[in-house]
Parts: sequence; C-alpha cells; structure tokens
Amino acid sequence: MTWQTPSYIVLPIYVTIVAVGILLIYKLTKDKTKNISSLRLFVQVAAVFAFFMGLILGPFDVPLYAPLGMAPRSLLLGGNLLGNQFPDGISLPVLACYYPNGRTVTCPIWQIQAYIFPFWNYARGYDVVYSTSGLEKIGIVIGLVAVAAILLGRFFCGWLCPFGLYQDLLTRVRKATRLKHLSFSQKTNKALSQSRWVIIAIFLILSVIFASYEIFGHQLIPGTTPGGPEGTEAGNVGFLNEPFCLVCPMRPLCVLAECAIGSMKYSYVSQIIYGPLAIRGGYISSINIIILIAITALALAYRRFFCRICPLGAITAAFSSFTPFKQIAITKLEKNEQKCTKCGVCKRVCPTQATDVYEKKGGDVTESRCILCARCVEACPYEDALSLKVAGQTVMHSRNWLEKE
Amino acid sequence: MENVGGLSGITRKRVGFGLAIIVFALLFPLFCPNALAQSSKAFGPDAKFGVPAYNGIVTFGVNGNYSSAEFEGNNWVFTNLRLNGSDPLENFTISARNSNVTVYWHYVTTVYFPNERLDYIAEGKGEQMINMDVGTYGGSSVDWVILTNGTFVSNNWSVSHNGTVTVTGLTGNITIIYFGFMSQLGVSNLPFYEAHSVAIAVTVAVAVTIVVAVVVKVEVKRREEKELSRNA
Repeated sequence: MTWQTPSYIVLPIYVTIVAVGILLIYKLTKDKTKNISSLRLFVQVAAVFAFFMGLILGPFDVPLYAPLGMAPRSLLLGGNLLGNQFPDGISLPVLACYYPNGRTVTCPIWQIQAYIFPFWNYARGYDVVYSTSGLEKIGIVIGLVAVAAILLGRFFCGWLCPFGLYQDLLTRVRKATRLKHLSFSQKTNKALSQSRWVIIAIFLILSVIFASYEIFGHQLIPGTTPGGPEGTEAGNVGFLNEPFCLVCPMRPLCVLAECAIGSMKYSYVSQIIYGPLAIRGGYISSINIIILIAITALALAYRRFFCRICPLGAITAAFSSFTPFKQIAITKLEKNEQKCTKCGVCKRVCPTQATDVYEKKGGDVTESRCILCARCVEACPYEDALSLKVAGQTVMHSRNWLEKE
Repeated sequence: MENVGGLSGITRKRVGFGLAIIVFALLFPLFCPNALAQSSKAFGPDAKFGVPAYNGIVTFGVNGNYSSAEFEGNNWVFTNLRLNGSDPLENFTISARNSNVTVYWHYVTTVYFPNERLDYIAEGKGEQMINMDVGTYGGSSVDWVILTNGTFVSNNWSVSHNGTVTVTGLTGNITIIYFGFMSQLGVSNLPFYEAHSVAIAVTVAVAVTIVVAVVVKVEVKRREEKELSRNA
C-alpha cells in the first residue's frame, strides 16, 4: 500500500519564510506600541496557511475528493501518521474546522463529539480513523490538547486560531471606520465566561443523546440513527452526532471561503442542504449561516466576542489556567507589582476584558479569559511591568514607550 | 514382410500410424488457435449483453475480455473481466432495467486509502444494478459515493447488504466509487505497538510535557528564591 509521504521540501521553506518574517517585523516596526500586534497578525496568517496547507497547495486529482473539490487533506502528514492510516489532522486547540479539505490540524471539539462513543468505531466522517477504538481516539485528542495547553495555554487563541484572526480583522475594519468598540459590564462578561462550560456540557450530552442508537441500541430521540447514504435524510441525521458543529460559526466561514476560492464545489455543498427553511445541512445550513452573521456583527461591536464563549478556549483553559495545570503551565503572563502604577491601560486594551492583569497584585496574572495576545504587554508604558514568559524566560515585556528612544 | 530395424512390417506400420497421430495432435492447435482460447473470450463495443425481462442492455465502451459470462437471474455475471485501459474485475455482476448501460472504465487505487471506481454511461431513466464484489464490508452505505456527470448524488441510489449498488433514474456519465473504510477497520495484523503507535506516542508526549513543566516550575521557583535571598 503506498501513502503520500510528507512534504520535506514544503516544510523547511515554510519555516524559513515564517522565521524571516518574524525577524523582519520585529526589527523594522518603528512604532513600539504596535510591533507585537503586527507580529501577531503575521503569525496568525502564517498559522492559517499551515493549518490549511493542503487546501492552498494541493495536490489535486484524488478520486475521493471529486465531489468535494480539489485539495486533499493531510498534505504535510502524508497519508499516515506513525504508521496508522488516515490521520484526521493533529488535534490542536484552534478552530481549524474539520469540514474543509486540505487541513493539517483538526478542531478537537469535532473529534471529541465524534469519538465520544467507545463503540463507534467506523468512520462517520471520512478519514476519522486512527485504526483504534473510540476511547483510544478520544484519549489521543485530549492528550494532544493537554500537551498544547500546558506548553502554550491560550496562546493558541490569541496567536494561532483562524477564527481569532477573523475577529481581529473585523476589529481592524471597525477601527478603520473610527467606530468605538462596545464593552460588557464585568458581571455580564463573567457570565459569558462561565457560559462556556455550560455550552460544552450541553453539546457533549446532546452528542450522546443523538447517537444513543450506537450506545444503547435504540434511539432516545426518533430519527437520530446515524448512517445511510451521505446527504440523505438517514445519512444527514448522523451529523447530529456532532451538534456543536451544526451551530459553530467557523464551519460555514471555512466552507464558504473554500467555495469562494474554487477549491470546494458549491454544487456539492448545496446538495446536502435540506429541511424546512434549509435548517439542516452537511456543511452549511440556514442556522449556521445566521449564527455566523450574528457572531460577525457581535465581533465587530465587542472585541473577540466569540472567544468569550468559545468552548474550545474553555477546554484549553482547563488544562492551563486551573489547578493543578496552572501550577505547571509553561507560558504565563506575569506582572511586576513594584512597577505597576495601576494606570488601567492593560484593562482597557484587553480584547476579552480579562481583569486579573489589573486586579491581581503581582506574579502570574494569567486567567482563563486571557488569550495571551500580549496587547496589555504592548500597551503598558512601564518598563517590565508586564511580561510574557515561557519556561520562566521573558519573550515579550512592556517598554516605556512614553520616552523617546 | 521383411524386418527392418528389428521391426516387422506390420509393427512398422502401427508405429508409423501412431507417430503420425502424435504429430498431428501436436500440430493441430497451430491451425486452430481459437481452440486454446476457451479461458478468455474477447469482446468489443458491439457486444450486447441483453436483459430481456428488464428491457435492459449492457455493453462495454471499449474492447476487453473475460473468462466467463453467465446470465443468471436476470444478471450478467462476469469473471475476470478486463476492459482495455482499466484494472481487472475478478467478479462483476451487472443488470439493467429500462436502460442501456455502457461500462467503460474500472480503476483501483490504494493511494490515500483503497478505493475502487467504475464509470459507465446510462441511457434511459431506468435502473442499473452493479456488484463489483468488493468484499464483506461492501454493504455499508458510508463506503460508497455516487457521482453523476461529476456531481455528488445523495439520493437515487442504495446499496444492499451484499454490496449491490442500485442506481435509479439517472442518465449520463455515472461513477460509482467504493472506499473500503470498513474493511480498513477489520482485524489488524499489526503488532500492538504499531497498531497503537499514535496513542503510545501521545501518552509519552503527555508524560514528557508534565515532567518538563514540573522541572521548569521547580527551577524557576528556585531561581526566584535565590534572587529574593540575594536582594534581602
């Protein structure tokens, strides 16, 4: 059996371009209050390229993807991972949606929903196979997310998530129109933050209920038996096994973007939209389009709105911002209490309205709402008052930009 | 009769007659080459395999050959069917109802994951029943994709438990693709560490990460205490 081998030429070229880009931006950005933001934008774009590299680079002409479009998945990983066929992309805590083609990284929320049943062995979504049982697959996903979260925490949210980039671009659009952003009250923001856990719980429970046939042998809700030809009523019902994906705004965004650039066939996508008012679909539906529009509007008004309720961010925070993982998290935001004057700039610039950076006295001020975007570090005018540290080493620190250099 | 070479005349005649028969038997196939081709029968695009009871006709768009073609229960059952320019089909069963079917391509690949594809042209909005003998797991619908003129088809087809795909009401270029996911999840012959290599690697990664994180934490704390005591 032959498998596509990983691209040993593409990877070094990509890494070189990214490294040179980071260096240039860091050295050449004159406005020191913006160089972290500029760097972050570059890294976000580079990350999107990496996560969907198979989409952007091809190759094409694989029979499986004839109905879907052109790019196959797994370009970087090739056709296998550590000897196991059909890797479904690496589980990283970013919304690299499962549904578009060409991804090298897969959203863990999809995988957790899909693998949650120990008996659900067969590929309900294509390529969803590590040649192992559901329990083992879920262990792999959670293990990878835990490793990522312990190492970098919600740095993924602030610097790598494609949907985070989308929201940041919306923020830039709003700034260009000179409109002021809105803010939630602390009470509302806290409630939004806590709603993440409720969202996770609801969708995981729904996953189990909708796939009850697989577990118990009968349907708790009629008509939810998975299986059947793709796109048919019986087949599409199977998509209810991933209920979060039915409402996630990232899915229609990715699918429509891919259709727009021509690497996915809209004829295929539109063929599996049905039900009254097109409320169900394999890829897009009226529900997820409306949600995408709503989130877009909210993200224009409230910075990084979706990050405040993102269940994936909550899972990442669980492995980085809460005991016992908080004690060993490697990437942290730290505050030097002696140098802080309580000016409040950090609190004002924080896109998710995280407050520990202002309210806590000193030391580790990372909290579950903090996406480690380092805007506070960039904006703080007091030298070394705030710093982003990795393994105890400072990688970014606040500078006294009030004084001319 | 006089003896020649120790053989009497009558014996010589019998021996000669026997030799002649042997030579004739050896030379005969050279004059009748088709007699050897009972294991492979050739056909061309003009060959028609009719299904009178269903008002259907099966043809092949290219030249090819097969070992046998039997008409059983209104199905044409071919063994070792080979179409020119295509991969062979060991066992192939096809029938057509109220339609004419022209099969022209069969393709098997293991790139990415095993899949098997059959292309044909259907004329007349009837039914085509096709079985490519893909194996035990061919009855699962998740393993099949049907395209018409390159477009994914969600309805108008079904697959039976024995892997017979029935396409209904479609005309034009039709493609049937079988992906074999289920067969890939069959009993694995790989050793434990290979079959579970991803899980093992992730477990090791988690353990290493935790150990490294703890070491870093201890080291940072030690450094901070040292600095505090120095400043004090």
